[in-house]
Amino acid sequence: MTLRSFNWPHAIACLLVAVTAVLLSFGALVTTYEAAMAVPDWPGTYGHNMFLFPLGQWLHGPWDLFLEHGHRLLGAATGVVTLVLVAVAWRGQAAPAVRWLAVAAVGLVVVQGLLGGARVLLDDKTVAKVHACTGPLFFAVAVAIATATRPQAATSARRISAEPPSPRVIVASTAAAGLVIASYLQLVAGAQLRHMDATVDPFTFRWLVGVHVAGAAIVAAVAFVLAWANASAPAATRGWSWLIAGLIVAQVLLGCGAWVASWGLPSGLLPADWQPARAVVARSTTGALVVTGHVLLGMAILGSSVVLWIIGGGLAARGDVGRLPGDAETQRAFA
Amino acid sequence: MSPPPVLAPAPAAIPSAALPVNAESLAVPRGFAACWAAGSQLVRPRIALMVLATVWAAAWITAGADRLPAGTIGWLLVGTALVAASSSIANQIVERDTDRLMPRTARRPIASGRLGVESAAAATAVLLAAGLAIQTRACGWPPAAAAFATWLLYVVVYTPLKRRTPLNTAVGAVAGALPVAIGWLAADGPERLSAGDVAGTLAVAALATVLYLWQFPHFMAIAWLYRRQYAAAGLRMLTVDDPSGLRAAAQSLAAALAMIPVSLVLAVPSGSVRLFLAAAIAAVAYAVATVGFAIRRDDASARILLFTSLGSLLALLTAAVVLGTPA
Repeated sequence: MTLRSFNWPHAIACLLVAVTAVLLSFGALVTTYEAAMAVPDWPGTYGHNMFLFPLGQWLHGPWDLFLEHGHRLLGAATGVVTLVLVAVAWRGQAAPAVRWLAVAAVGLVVVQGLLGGARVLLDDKTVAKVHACTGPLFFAVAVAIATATRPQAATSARRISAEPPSPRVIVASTAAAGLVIASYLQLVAGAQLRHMDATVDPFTFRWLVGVHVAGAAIVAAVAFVLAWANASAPAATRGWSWLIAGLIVAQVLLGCGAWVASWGLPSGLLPADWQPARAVVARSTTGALVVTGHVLLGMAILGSSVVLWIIGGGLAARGDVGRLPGDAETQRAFA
Repeated sequence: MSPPPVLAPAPAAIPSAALPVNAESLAVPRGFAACWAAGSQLVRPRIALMVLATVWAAAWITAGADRLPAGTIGWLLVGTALVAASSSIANQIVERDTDRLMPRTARRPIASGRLGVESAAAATAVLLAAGLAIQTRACGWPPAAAAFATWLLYVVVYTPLKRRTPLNTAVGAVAGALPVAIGWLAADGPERLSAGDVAGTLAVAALATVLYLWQFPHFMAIAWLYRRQYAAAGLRMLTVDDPSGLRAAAQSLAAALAMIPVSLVLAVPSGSVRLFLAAAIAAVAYAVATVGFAIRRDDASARILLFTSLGSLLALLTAAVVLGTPA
């Protein structure tokens, strides 16, 4: 393998997934510890250029400052990696879908950075919610690029496209797409609860909790349909299906833990002495880990769903080979 | 489930003379209904309605709790409708030769010769002048200037660009998003911004961005469905330059994904949880339809995308106005 033949888009996309995972972890902790306003100015940090803020003050300063400033630095690093990815994708021989997904990633990372700044400058909870929903979307796009650029993609596209899909494959393909959507919408609903305004009325709160719990049931049901539909699929597809099913079981347990950590043991839908201001804060270390873990596991489920959707043939199972001109181009569309 | 339909082996390049327009199909009907139909073809009321809805929603969101007087907003919409009608006629004057080559547009009044170019040009000028005058009278010159800029971009830049480059959609989408500026300016957006109302302007900027991004999947679906007609007319749509549809699908996918977070920003001024969730569902539904088109790239998925695009935009605008209204 030479430097020129090395699969740079895949390597950089994997790096992007890794950096984004760390970034999202910091972001989730920022929300858990309500540290978003620990640095009240933007794009600078306490009057310094963000990149020139004294290292000692960052590493040995307050925990909230460590989280928020670290989140910003990681955001900047993610932006740089995304720009490198789009440059490599457009300079090389990447497929159109990969190129445009990379463009979408650049758009998303810019929007996300601006949202982060607006969240601080406006001190607005709704902007924080949008910020919280854009992060997982960006992560999903990064995972999609990494999966679509993997070396095995070309051969699997050819293999899958060569034969018409069976009903079970169609169920699996549809369920995989459905799981991506449902798990993302669960993160959207979860973001509403995480960034709940203290003035929200109890009816809205109960309604949101109901939506989130019902969404969990839907995600679990779709995941197990997917595991059933992929029972006789290739090993990798089967493995990802069962991994997701396992993650969802863990997620339900963590969700119960997050409920207790945030609102106490349920008596009825809510504790009788529930106060909205208490609703989203987990102060103890264990509680913080449980609540943050619930968010991160949700993102892991989303990312895994994207991987499964693509490797299971979601983008190629109904491929157009033999149906349109330019088969070679079609085959490398997502390869 | 039956396999997807097999397209005719086509085309590294779609044959440009493949679609002769049947002269019989151009027979001119007479009577009131025919006049009404001709008028509709000329001013394209559905597109004008979409523009009016956009202007109204932008003004509504900008004004927030301070309602604009009904008379002001009414005259603004009348003026906007006239400018939109003018731009539609001007567009048909410029495109009359290519319109004749496509069955979809060959029956339009100017292309079919039922309306002379001179008369159409006069109507364009009168409608434009009247529309701008009414807007200026009702809301001052800034909204009228924005309307005129939209007219120029659509008629003078976008329309000729359709024959030159597939990038025309990126330019035309700006013209599609500019009506938001009309509503924003009419509702004193700049003054509100300088007075510190950042959130309202943020939501309006989000609405403009949503409209810009929304147009990519929407127009790519249309460009796919009518790709052979566009090719016959020599229009450089992306689906003509790349008949596999891959580039159109990829651009649509990128725009639909980027539209999700931008749609959520619509909920910022009100902080409404319901608007947030409604925007998320509408934008994700649109993204799903776009993914479906990206995967299949056939007429059925393009039609689904087209209908979903209209439904999701309607849902977004309705939710922004109904759920995003401050108490």
